[in-house]
Amino acid sequence: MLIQQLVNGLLLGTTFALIALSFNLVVGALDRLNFALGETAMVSAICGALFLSQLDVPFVLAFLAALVVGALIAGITFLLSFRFVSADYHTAPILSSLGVGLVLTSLVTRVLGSDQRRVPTVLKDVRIEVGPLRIVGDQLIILVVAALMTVLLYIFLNRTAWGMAIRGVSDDSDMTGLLGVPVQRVILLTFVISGTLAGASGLLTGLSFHTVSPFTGFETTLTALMVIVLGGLGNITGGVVAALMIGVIETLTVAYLSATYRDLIVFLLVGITLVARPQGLFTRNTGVVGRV
Amino acid sequence: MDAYTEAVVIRLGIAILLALGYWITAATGKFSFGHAAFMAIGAYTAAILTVNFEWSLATSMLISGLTAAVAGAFIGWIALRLSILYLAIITFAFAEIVKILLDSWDYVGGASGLFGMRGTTVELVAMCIGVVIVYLFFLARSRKGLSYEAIREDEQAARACGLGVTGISVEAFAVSAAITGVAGALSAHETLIITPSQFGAPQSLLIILFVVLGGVQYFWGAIVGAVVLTMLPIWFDFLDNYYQITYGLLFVVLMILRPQGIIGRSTERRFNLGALKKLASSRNGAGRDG
Repeated sequence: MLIQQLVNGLLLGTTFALIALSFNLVVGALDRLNFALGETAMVSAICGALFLSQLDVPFVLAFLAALVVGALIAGITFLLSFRFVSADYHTAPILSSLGVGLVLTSLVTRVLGSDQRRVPTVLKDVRIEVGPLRIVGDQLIILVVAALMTVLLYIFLNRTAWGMAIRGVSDDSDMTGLLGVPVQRVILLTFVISGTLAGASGLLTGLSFHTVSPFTGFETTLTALMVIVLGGLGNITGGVVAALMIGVIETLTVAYLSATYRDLIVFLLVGITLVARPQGLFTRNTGVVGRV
Repeated sequence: MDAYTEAVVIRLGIAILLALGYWITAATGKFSFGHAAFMAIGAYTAAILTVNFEWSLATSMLISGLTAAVAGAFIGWIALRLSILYLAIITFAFAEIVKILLDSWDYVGGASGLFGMRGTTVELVAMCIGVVIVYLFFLARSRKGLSYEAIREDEQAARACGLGVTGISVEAFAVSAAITGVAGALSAHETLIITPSQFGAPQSLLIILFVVLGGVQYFWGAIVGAVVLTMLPIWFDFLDNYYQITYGLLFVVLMILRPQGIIGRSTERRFNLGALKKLASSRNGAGRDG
């Protein structure tokens, strides 16, 4: 029973990890938060769900569509809320991206209706049973896809020229610009990748609960914020570990205490972290805290 | 004054009070994203006192202001030592915590809310606004007002000049929370019923929009923002169905064209179009500000 809950928690954590990665990439690139990413994930998930249930396309295609939608929205958000906004106003990108989120939520409810969308089961017959542990096909998909995307991102960031450019901009954008890196294009690329990750996390979360609601955007943002604060703002590895932790904690709370305490315990944990270790659990230097 | 006008005037007055309260923290450059939580704290405190203990509304308002101030000081103490991103995250989470707690607290009716409050009058609202405006009038002309401005314009320079930035910001945050709490108390005794869901993220964003639209430079800018945004849905009925889209677009457009708000001077042009063109043509424009 406990092992089953732990595995469920880790699975929930992998979807959190994707959205946290998506937030952390933007924090790294610009030292700013894109508050519209939760809504981006929601819109991608709704699009993916519509593709699956209405057009009956294979899951891979719907998933790709969700990724493209996420990337597009994140790119547009970058232009509207970051690129064209004066850098002298620190809160301007926050407010502007919140505005984009509001518009996205109300557009979706206006155009597609405010009812929940069903995400059909993809792998019906697959099931792994190891002793008391049971993993169904969809959970397997979530695990594999999330792990694959995380690994691909690591390889991209650490082994390719563009990945190095992203890390360079995140480290020191002026210096990187002087070395001939097109900083704005790299930042746009970072936003697009973060949108892709948000889209993936949206549809995978939808797959795990089999429904997608147009009102979950804000909730997703809030969870992601808790994860990245716990792991350390801008710390990619810390974010993944914190996401798995929060996934396990939430699942165990729901299983053994009560669903109403789920968010409260996470908030409490993050609050204690902020007072005792503001740089996050897994960050050694406080450089990021000073910078953002 | 007939009942309809009175209701509109009271709503307008509460909006102005909320905007003025928020302006105080925005004047130090610290934007809270969960001010509706302080409204909720004020509203519930006052409602418990007047309904369950039959205190007078005026005393309850004072107590609710105090409670909100204590909560504000606590949140400010945690968040204002850190950067503006952390402040945003913490205030967001705080608003959510308050909502969850109120939702699961049976004494105040849980999610179905608390009812039976009455007694907000135009005079009471006007008096509160009067007190706040007098306070802000003298604040704007005092050393403290100057220090707020210094912190807003350049926090590092302010710190280098010997200002206790964190202390001043926390104090401003607490005062701001207190005024928001009083406004919450007034609004609870006007709407007759309060539920936790009234004080969610949309309410917080609306309060921010009041101040951002008006501009943070002068406190009366906040009043203008509050009046415009409260009267807009009343004058234009059709906006009612699209108000979320309208507010969202307003944020986006305003931040590009006039991030300083409608009212407020800037060294840049009247509208930021020049900067827009410059940004669009240069490759490495406003990456970030070092």
